[in-house]
Amino acid sequence: MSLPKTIDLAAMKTGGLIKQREKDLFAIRLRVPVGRMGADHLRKIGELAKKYGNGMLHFTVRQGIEIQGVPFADIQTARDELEAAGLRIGACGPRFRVVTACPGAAVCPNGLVDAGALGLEADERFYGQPEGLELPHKFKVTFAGCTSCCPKPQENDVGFHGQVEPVLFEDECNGCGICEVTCKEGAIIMGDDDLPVRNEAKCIYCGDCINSCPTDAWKVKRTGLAAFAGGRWGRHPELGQKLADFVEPEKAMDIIAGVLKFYKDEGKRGERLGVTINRVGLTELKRRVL
Amino acid sequence: MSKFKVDDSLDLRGVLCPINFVKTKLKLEEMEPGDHLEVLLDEGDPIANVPRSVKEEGHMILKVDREGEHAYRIIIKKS
Ligand code: SF4
Ligand code: SF4
Ligand code: SF4
Repeated sequence: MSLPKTIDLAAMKTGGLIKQREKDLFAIRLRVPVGRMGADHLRKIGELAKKYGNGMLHFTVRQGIEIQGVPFADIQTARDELEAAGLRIGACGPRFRVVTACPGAAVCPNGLVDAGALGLEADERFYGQPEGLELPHKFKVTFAGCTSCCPKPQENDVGFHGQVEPVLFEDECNGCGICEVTCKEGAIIMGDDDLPVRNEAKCIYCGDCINSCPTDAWKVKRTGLAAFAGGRWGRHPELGQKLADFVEPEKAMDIIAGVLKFYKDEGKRGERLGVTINRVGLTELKRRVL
Repeated sequence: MSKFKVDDSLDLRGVLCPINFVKTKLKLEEMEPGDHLEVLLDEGDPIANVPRSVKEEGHMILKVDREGEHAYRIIIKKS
């Protein structure tokens, strides 16, 4: 195939173009941070998928959208038109990938933190090649609004989920016992005085007791993020290990920056963060990041 | 058995979310403020979800007791 003169090879290197099985056809990956997109953008993507592609789109597991079947000769024009409409091209390869998140507290009734807003902030700050440095391998980050972990924080290089510590205001308790039956961890037992007793060791900080208490006797003592590092899927899946509990949401970006620095300093080319941690040690990672 | 009066009763064992909540809400709408509604709910999702939704509608749960091995009896006070 011959290269069209206008194609921006430098831009191609930043990724977002995926060669398809068919000759001369590419898929264009769009950057859709936290899986959130305005209806007008979606309409524009549909229009361009018909104009340049084969009219089919693929929704990726990381909340992205790929326009399929774009002939090589049309890539640059398609990209220019996408960018003119305010759409951005996604990354592949050894880069900081688009940040995923659930809708979080802004939308989901279970949400404890605004996962979407945190995800957008992280994506703006770190996406691509942070500080121009090459990463050893890809790097994935996600934010979950609560302990249900819908977007799977433990499967990401760095993942967060919202958490909340409850505290009982005994005077406001009517002794109904709802919190005891609502707590899925068996962390609450009604005492003989009809007051609930919480077992700290069993509590996973989900906040179900707070949400279910009819008199609001359970209140929020503190809200924060649990942080995990080193998770990955692929050929050798491994769950991320707990870095910290109750990280203040404002500190989440510092944690990501710290882990990235550790990864750049210690990671060997081609190895995911989890492998680096297994080699260098979680304690050492914590010492440098927290 | 709880010490609360009961003005009306619904057995929602075997009824799935969110139909169990909708039936509870419709029943509460027929009742007078201050009335007590007794509802039987399965363990698992129903007991986790219905009381919470009832709370969000502004009503008060007064009591929950076990009803057999796999269900609960709750008393709701209409607001
Ligand atoms: S992780 Fe929690 S807040 Fe996010 S979508 Fe799931 S249940 Fe909702
Ligand atoms: S926060 Fe969750 S786990 Fe902890 S006591 Fe409350 S309901 Fe149970
Ligand atoms: S749910 Fe609230 S009012 Fe009922 S026993 Fe628990 S703390 Fe008390």
